[in-house]
Amino acid sequence: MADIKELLEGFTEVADHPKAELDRHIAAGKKVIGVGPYYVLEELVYAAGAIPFGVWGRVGTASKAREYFPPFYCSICQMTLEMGLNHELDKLSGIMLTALCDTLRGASQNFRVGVTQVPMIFVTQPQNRATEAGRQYAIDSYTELKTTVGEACDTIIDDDKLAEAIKLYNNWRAAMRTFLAEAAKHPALVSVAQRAAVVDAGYYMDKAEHLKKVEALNELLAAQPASTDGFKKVVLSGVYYDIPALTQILDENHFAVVADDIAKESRALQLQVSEEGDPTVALAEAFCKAGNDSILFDENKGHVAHVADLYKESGADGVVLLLAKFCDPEEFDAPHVAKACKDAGAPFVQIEIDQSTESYEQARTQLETFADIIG
Amino acid sequence: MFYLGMDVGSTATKCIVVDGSGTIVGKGLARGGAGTKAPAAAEAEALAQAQVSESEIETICATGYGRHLFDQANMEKSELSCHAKGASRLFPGVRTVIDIGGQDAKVLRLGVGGSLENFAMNDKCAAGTGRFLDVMAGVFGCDVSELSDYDRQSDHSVSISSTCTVFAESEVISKLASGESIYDVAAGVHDSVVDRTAGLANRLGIVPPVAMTGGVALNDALRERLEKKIGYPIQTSELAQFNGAFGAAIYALEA
Repeated sequence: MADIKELLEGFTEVADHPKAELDRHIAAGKKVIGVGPYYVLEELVYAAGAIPFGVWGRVGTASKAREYFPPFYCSICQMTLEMGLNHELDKLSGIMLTALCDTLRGASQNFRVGVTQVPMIFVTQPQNRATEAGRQYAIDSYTELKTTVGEACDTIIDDDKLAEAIKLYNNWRAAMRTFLAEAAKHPALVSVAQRAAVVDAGYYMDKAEHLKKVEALNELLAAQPASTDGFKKVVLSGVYYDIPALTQILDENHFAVVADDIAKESRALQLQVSEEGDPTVALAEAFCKAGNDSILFDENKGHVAHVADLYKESGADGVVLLLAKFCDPEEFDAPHVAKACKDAGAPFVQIEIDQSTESYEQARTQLETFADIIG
Repeated sequence: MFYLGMDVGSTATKCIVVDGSGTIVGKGLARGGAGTKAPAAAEAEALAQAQVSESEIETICATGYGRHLFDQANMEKSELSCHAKGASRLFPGVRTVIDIGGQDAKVLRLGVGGSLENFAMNDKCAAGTGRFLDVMAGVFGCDVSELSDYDRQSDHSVSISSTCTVFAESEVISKLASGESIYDVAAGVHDSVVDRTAGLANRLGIVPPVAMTGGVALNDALRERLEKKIGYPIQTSELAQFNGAFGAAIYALEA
């Protein structure tokens, strides 16, 4: 049985080299469908016998994408289009993009126009999810997507396969939630960079394979004594943080992520789909039940209180909001999140990040100082 | 024994030597930051003024953006922590410190005992920083130290609406070309910095007494405009630019 270090190295290898993982899937004769951020119903892809492959941009500089976007545009969208325009996604049989924010909507349309060699599968989802009309809208959209994804994978998705995929994904998300909890208890064994790598690898690997390795890791971690001694315990909030320069700073300053409100992590992993009844309806209803997220319409802004609650429940020393530059939903929520944290007595720091930034020296200064304050 | 604080900033390097009681005995300033000869020059100036040799320095603490590159340092501290530490000594009882440096602006909230409680920094943009004023002084053809005098000769402030330094430079040039007085445009440049700084301060919340540090604090006209904007008097000191280095020296003393 592999040990913790070996398993983490394996995840890091995949996270650092997604192209190699893509090539492996293709070499195994699998069709691969790209999935953008987020709440994309990957289960449909899996049920079609294909591999869902996460495409959330990458760290780098947008050049060709500037032809389509102004500079003040979410870097995930810019870099995803850049990858498409640079033919880095040509092996995909399609890419599923949502329109949950205005930026993603424009990005999906530009992708369709600019990257003609990769079919863009538009994932339509309702924002008014609490109403019966919203629920029915989601069901109708997902039913149509079932056909579209099946066509992209040269198959017809049957309900039994979809039910199997839902079961696998439920197990995987549960295992991932357990991993995040175990990583929080063992910062000396799982660094911030390694935590991000385990999550990222899950976006690239076959879910069944990733699940097996995550379960093995969870078992090994659970057997170790929990300790956060010597670490500054923080809640991370934001969309993503898997930027090597940033995770390095977090690790160098001995931060331990004891809870997260990260879109790529706990927000995306919150879904639990019913394994009873019509699987397409179950997928739609699971999405409609999702909450506590800046990208999802919620008249009560549950996301804001959720961050402060995470601070209180996790025993964290502070909250770090990694504000994704030019991300409207996050920018709009940020002042409210800051206030909620202040009201909860949480030391709070807001740091601007994006995939196109090469220097994080200002973030280093802020995080070092924050470590001084909460240390 | 003596203790040395070195603030390797983006546009200038500042050095302070203190004695065992924390009293400043020497200071040095050199144009240039990390990767230049400025740290060595600032150190030499401070040691000469203090009449102290390197061997008499017990501990060196480096701060500022170039702190990691100053090999002689025994310890490093972020400039935010050092500015808080220095300000708590320079301005006893101060609760809010506004620092406008060469490439960033920061607002610090100090606790009753002088400890750093919270802070806010500007986004990654030169607007509202010392660099912004340097660029505008270049357009006016004057030294940045003359901007205060220019402002004082102004009848009214000409609005500079561009938030980006590069676009603001173009806007300033076009205002001058359209016949606006250089003094009124200088006042507008100051108001632009004041608006951004006040916004940053309000984001954190201003608790008086307020002090201002960094090289821009020595710009009297800008500081007075900021006082009006935030509604509180602002203390400063002739050592404003050395505040970070002073804080670093105190950290070295306390180590």
